[in-house]
Amino acid sequence: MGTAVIYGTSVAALRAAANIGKLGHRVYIINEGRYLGDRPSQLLYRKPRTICNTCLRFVLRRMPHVEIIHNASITGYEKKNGGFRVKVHYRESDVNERKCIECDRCLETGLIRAYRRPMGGNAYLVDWDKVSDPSALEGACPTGALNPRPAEKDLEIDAGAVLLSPDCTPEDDAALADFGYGKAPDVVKVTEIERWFSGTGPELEAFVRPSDGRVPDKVAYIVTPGLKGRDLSVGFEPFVNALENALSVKRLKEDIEITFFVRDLLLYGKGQWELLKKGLSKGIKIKRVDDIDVQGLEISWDGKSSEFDMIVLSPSSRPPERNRRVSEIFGLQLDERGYLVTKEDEPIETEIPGIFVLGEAAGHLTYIESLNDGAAAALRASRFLGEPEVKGQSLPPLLDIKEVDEPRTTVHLCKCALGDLDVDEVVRRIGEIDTVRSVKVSEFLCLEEGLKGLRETATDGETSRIVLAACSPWERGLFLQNKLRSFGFPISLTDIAEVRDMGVFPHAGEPAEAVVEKVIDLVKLSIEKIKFSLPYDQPLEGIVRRAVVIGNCIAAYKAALEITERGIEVLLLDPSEEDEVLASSSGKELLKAFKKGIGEKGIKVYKPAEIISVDGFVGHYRVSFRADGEDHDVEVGAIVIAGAGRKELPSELKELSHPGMVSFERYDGRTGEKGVTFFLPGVLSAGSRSTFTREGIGEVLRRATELKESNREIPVRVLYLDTPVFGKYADLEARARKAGVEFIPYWHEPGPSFAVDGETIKISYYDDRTGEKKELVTSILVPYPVIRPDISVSKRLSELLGLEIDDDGFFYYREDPYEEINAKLAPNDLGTNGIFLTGFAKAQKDLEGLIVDSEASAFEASVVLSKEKQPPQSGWVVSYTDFRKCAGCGFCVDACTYDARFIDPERKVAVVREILCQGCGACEAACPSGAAKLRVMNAKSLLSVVDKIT
Amino acid sequence: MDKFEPKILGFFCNWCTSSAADLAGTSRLHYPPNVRPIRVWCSGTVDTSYVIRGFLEDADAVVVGGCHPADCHYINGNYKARRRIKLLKTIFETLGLGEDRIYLKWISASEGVKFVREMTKITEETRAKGKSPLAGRWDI
Repeated sequence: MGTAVIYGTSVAALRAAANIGKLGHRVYIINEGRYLGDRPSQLLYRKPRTICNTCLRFVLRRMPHVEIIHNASITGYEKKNGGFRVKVHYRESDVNERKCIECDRCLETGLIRAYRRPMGGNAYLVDWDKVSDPSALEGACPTGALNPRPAEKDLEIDAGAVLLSPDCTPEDDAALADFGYGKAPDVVKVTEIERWFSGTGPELEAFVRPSDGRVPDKVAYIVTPGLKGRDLSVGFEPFVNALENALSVKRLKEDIEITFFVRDLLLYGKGQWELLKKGLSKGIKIKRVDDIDVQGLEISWDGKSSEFDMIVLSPSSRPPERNRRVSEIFGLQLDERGYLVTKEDEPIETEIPGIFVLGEAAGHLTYIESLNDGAAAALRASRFLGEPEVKGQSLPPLLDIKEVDEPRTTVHLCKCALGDLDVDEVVRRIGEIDTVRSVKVSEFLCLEEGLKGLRETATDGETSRIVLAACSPWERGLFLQNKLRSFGFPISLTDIAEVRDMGVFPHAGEPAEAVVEKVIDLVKLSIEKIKFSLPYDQPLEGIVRRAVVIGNCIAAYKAALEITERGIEVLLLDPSEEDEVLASSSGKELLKAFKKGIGEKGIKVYKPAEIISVDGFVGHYRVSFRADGEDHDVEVGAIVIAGAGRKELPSELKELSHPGMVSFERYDGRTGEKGVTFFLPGVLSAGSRSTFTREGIGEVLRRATELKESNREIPVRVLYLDTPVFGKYADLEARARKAGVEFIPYWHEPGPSFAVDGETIKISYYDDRTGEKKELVTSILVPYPVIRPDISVSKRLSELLGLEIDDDGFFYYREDPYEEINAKLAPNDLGTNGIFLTGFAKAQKDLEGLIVDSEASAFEASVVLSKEKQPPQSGWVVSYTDFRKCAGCGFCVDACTYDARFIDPERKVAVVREILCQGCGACEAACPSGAAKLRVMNAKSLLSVVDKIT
Repeated sequence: MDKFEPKILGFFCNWCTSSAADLAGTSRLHYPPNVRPIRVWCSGTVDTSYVIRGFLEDADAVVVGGCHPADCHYINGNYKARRRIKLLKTIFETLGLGEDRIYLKWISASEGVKFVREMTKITEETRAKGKSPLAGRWDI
């Protein structure tokens, strides 16, 4: 039962697929769309421009055991042999993606349309309306990827686990007419602007009014959730997305006046407050409104109104329409909004063991929460999948490549790459190049006949360099290079001449001689690039299969358990004497259960443990610590930091002493004539970025509602800055408002101040909507405590590990989903240096968030520790030192961003830790003596390239 | 007389600018064939000697292409390139060698259109400037 079925192409689904695939299990992704990316999902609500499908396609393409079935839906399932038999109905794809080489020849029939995706290649679909006779499609594709008669088919898959994550449904365009969409041409959606920018990056020429092509001077952004009767809770970070977009518009033209209309800010992710502050500093105006009215391009709110040049909508989305069908098939509950319900207090899990609900199917999550959901679901599902089916490919030893005098190069020319060029002419010209011993031509290098040719060349005993004159690395090039390696030929002695994507395709219509000239130069430069390379395989380094988890967060306990579960020894170091960080009181029971598990598994827990030193690098860290009066010293391969925290009063109240002030935990329901005010200290309290959790807000809302319901006559207030209560917490807010709890939003600069006023407490604050200074008097003040990172622990760890922390003591990491690290779907990994952040180390999270996060990072740490030997991330591209030339100056050590170089204290030369090297070549450029070099494509070869082609 | 066709040397980083070039190709965008693209791992590995050698060896312009600032695949390689190229341009300017023939461009993997525009512009500008006077001047 090593197979997993994943329904949907949401970010959570794709990340789960990548992770389960990584473990070697077979995965079927059931995609309702015609190609990957056809269906709208959370991905599209983020910036479609910068989310790099290339990486994702690359990840999935590298795993042939991850299969995507398009035009498909699940029609039924039954329990069978301890697993599930999943019934799938699908229509065969028009185009087999694995066979398609994007040569565009099928377009000549005029029956096929190419969808040029802004990132990562094209999708081809048959325009069936135009096809009267399918036989016209026969022979249109040279590789047989085109299916002239796609059939409707049924498939039964025996699976050990089923992961359900249908994609969300976008808000109807018709409904957006509330804001003038579809009525006035200059009312557009933020995703539309992103599409205007797509492919070009933000450009002022692209940012124009659809009606008259003029760059607008005055733009309004409307964040629709919460307005015009909309649910506040449904949207994928709509404010943040719109703000990002507005900031890129501001960068294009600073004096464009931008005003936001929002119900609530809904800032929850880390760094989002910084984004807001950045927006404010750039002059973006934020109007928080209860509702607005839009007529044409005129917006009215709070009795005011203003005319704009353009209105940009950041819409909400709806729960996946497919959820209903899924709930019927699998007998799962839907909540009143239409989300699939997970088990009480158990995210991802359903009542049926082995069936999981994740990502946007289960509720509105932030992008990072969705990604973590995917990783955590992969980990949970893997327990139902048994032994992986796909074992790592074992590669043959490298062939002994003999070199007599100079390299003997064989050039493999792919006709697909040459288009209309005269093949004989190109072959003749290549044959004239120095060192070329033979030129071989294949119709398609990546198909059977071409690969056969490659095998012959690799093993002919004569060839010492192979140049693949074909498409590009991301297209088929790397595939071909890996094929050559599988025949025993060193990849370091091969190169891809990108004659198609850099030579032929972009120069259509140019004189043939000029194009041939360029093609020849491309081949020449590839030949020169590898002329001085050495036969070299990717290095492997042994690693210590043991991990240490550091922290007093509940995530630390969970992560320790999960890593142990995967057969890796774990030590848990709790650096704090304080109680564990739980996110909310409901975590107590869970923590108890985790501690019991830890006892049963025999995981050693040290509390309090003082970390004395950490040395080493991924695979080989040495951690020294003191606990129970003894010094310990342990060698580990990976370190998981879960953070340490402590509870305290909001700093605004530290000076205040009054019997009417009771902390939330001690609050016993007492009231007074002037009412009760709950104080949510706000994410910016005392310069702090995020000091309480959504769950904490939930607790306050619940308590305030109960209080108001039983004490109708006295005022109950919530003084707050922002209530990021999307998802299930939104209902609590609605209930509180209905019960009559007053919500008092304050503005953060300056924040509220508190003073004793006889029997009562006087609160002064600036009204968030009007900016007016206001005061209120309350009998009882109930502040919600903030849980802060234990700054001394954070500081110590940051010094020992060289990690950055923010002012609060949270560790800095790239949670920004626009960053590349997330495109690679690994937000917990700090660039594979073997250190993983989780839970409270990163930011405030609610209990679910902490648990899911701990599983996601446990997964990633386990992957690093899963094998006894690991290659560097960059594979065969690593640097080395020519010791004869090295002066030991250390320039390369300073230039290296990855600590991959150090000066050997005895020999006084620079030594490379290959497993850390990423192969960028910065050391080579920095080295004044020519001693630091890349193994492939080094200075000598590049200079020789320059010589040969200019 | 035939129009002067300049020879332009491009050092493009693997992750951003070279990918943009690929994208331009797979999207069937069009630019003049004068640029000889050399895929390097990172713009931070481009030594000034490659640029100088390029000019001496007949190149009429040299373009270094990397990831946008703060977006480098190798974290800060593009800043290294920026410092190096800035320095080289200053030297070229001081010695009157034509610093305007050295280009540094940030083109991300999604900016196929930008790649095309920049390459077209650089080709046109270089065509207008004519042959680089540095070609073959090993004596300087």
